[in-house]
Amino acid sequence: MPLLPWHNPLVIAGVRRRLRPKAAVTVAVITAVISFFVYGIVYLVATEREITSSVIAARWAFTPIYYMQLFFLLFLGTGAIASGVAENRLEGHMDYQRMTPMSPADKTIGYLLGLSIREHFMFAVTLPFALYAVVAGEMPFLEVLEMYLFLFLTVTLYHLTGFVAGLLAKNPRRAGMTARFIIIVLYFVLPGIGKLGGASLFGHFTADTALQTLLGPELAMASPQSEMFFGIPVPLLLITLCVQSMFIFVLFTATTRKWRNERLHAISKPMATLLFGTLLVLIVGSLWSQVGHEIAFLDMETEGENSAVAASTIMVFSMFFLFSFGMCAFLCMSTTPDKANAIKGARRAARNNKRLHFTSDEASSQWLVVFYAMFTGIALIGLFEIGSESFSSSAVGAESLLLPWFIFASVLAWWQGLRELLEPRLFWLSIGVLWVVPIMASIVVVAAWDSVEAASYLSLTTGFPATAISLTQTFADAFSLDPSEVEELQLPSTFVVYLSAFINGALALAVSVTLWRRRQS
Amino acid sequence: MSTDGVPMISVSDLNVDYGDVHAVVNVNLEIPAGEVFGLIGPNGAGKTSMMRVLAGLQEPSFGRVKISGIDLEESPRLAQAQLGYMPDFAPVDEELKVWEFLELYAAAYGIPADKRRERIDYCISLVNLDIKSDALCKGLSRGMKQRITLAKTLLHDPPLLILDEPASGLDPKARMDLRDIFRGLAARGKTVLISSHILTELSAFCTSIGVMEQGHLRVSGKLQDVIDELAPKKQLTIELLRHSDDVDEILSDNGVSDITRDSNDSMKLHCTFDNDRDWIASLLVTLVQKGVPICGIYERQFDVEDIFMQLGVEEVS
Repeated sequence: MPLLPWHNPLVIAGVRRRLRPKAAVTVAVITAVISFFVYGIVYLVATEREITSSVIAARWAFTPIYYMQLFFLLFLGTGAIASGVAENRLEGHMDYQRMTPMSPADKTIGYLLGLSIREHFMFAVTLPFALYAVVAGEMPFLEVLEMYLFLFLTVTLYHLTGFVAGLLAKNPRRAGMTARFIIIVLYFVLPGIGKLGGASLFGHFTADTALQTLLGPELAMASPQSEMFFGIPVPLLLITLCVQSMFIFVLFTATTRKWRNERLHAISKPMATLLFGTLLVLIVGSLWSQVGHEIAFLDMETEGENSAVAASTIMVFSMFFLFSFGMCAFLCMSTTPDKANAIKGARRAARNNKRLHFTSDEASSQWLVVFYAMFTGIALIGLFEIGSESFSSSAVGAESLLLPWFIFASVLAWWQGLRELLEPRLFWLSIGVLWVVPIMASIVVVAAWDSVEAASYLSLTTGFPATAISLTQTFADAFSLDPSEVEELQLPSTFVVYLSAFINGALALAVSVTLWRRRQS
Repeated sequence: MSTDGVPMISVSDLNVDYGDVHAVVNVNLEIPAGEVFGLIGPNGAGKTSMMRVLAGLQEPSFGRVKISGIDLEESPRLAQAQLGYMPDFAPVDEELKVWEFLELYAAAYGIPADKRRERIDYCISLVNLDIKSDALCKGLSRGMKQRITLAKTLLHDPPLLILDEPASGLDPKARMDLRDIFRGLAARGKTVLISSHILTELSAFCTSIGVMEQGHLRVSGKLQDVIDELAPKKQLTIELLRHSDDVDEILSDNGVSDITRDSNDSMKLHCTFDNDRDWIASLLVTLVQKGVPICGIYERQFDVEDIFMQLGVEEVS
């Protein structure tokens, strides 16, 4: 049975450390002054100058107070947790805690609340202002309560992200910065990119969905209630609940593993597999309704409806490849042993006269690449078949996606292989040389000389241009686009696609053979 | 909860690797309950790696560790309940008061709330820090912080203490204070595994020792057994008042061999012998009777430093 927060020694220590009377009074005064200023500038100005009624003015005042609360809890709280965890870990306090009989869950909860206790206190100070806005604004109390429950779900997700960032970072400062960077990516960047490709799934990492869904009409915001998932309307809040709960579960498992042994991977291979499967289903479900339709968000200026649908479809498939690769690469890198651990595992197995279990941290993750590639391929076929209903030409089949899929699988395979073969520093150097630098160089070439062809050759090893070219050609054929429209795109020749497939395939094969030979020796 | 006959620490075939670096190589070791075991070796010998493995804070590459008969890999929480671990640069929570820091761990170790304060006060008094109980940790000296950490280590009353270089960075006074505390703990029947590269620190109160070098446990056992094993001949030191031409001849005639003069003091002679202490008394009589101006004669006791020299271990401070 987990400890109640007020009995958790780590929470009590957090209160003593960060909320001694002097500090508490200072923080309370500053927060109250800021809250009053925000509230006053909206509510008092609106009512005293008779811009609107007091009810509407109170509702207006609720939104900035809410975002202030979000800022305290999400931005400041997550940063405090990440840097606090990193500091505790590097100084050795976590080793002390690791040896105590408290359960990993209690330790995690203790750290989460203890390290962000001041930010929770700041949140508490703003509550009277929010409460006044709710009462004066005649807002539905139950909906507000539900919205706050969702807010705390999101806060838990982000705080756990900060905790894991703190466990992995090399210094407290970097941990805090990484955590805040993750917040920006998850809260703003990813939902934005997702919208671009029609994958609204990524909008569920934020607390905004709950605010808009539950209090949209009161706060004069758009208030969508459901979202298409595999073509079926599903309540938005249900998706938010599922997505955030799933990530909370994954992150909580990661912290439990790290409590057991700091050197363990944050994500085990089975957990990565489960996470991959779930995310793939969510991404496909989210894109399902977008394939073969024009994405309204894009609002493309194309010559015909067909071109707009083709462009949207290309965008959807490009996004699918991008997200799938990002997800697979992240999971692969998180679960692949580096050179030292791979050798350690092999030595241990030899010593114990046992084969290394394929799910152990030190075992190769090549099978994961095969699994990821296989299921990505199945998802691709599924999406293609759905889209094919709106194709103008029936001559284009799913086999036309074989080449981009092969490039995707090859790049993933050589990334994984290098990770296992090389020391971490050398691995990242290789990724820099073979992947990051070519992408940057090709961006420069396109920006400076408009030479898409040269850029494509420059970044053969990345697989990106080849995939984009292949997808564009496939869907241009599928939607029977006018040759002049295709010509306007100035696509490089298909030779680039074949060359990229060959190079990445050769790299994957070479790395795999080297790995196999090392295992034999 | 030490069971009779079951060693407090049992290590078999222990190996710790960091990539291509082998920090601990095939270590086998048994430490009986009640022993004060000094693990000595130069910096980088693998002491800290071994101690972290014993404390369950690091996974070995392979090998088996049992604490009081409990397999550390199979039941880590149960095994860890038997031990208290103090790292070399033991951190304290700077923003907490001494008693608050100890209460954090007392609660974490599950000491009931009504007994916590009493236990904390007891541990604070064990390390002689009663007057600092209400002080913030950040205002304390390094030696005091080490003592607070030791108090934290003792909170759950573990039968085994693993202390990794506990006196490193301390001034001589703080080191002596800490040594007295360790002596007291040993007298209370605790099994203590203590590592250091400062040899005098250990020789004073260890009952058994192990010498590590480059990951290998070169020798281990009861202090006297190790000394006897490594010092086959006893050493005698003779101090002269002034120079004597006959002393070497007289000594040789009486069965003394390997006579050498001290490199710093030519009036001091070192030699080896195979007899007992009665023989030393008779040699003294002979020397005096033959007019050798002798002002001192004593059997030189082999200590930990000599063991090091004997083993050829380098980089000893």
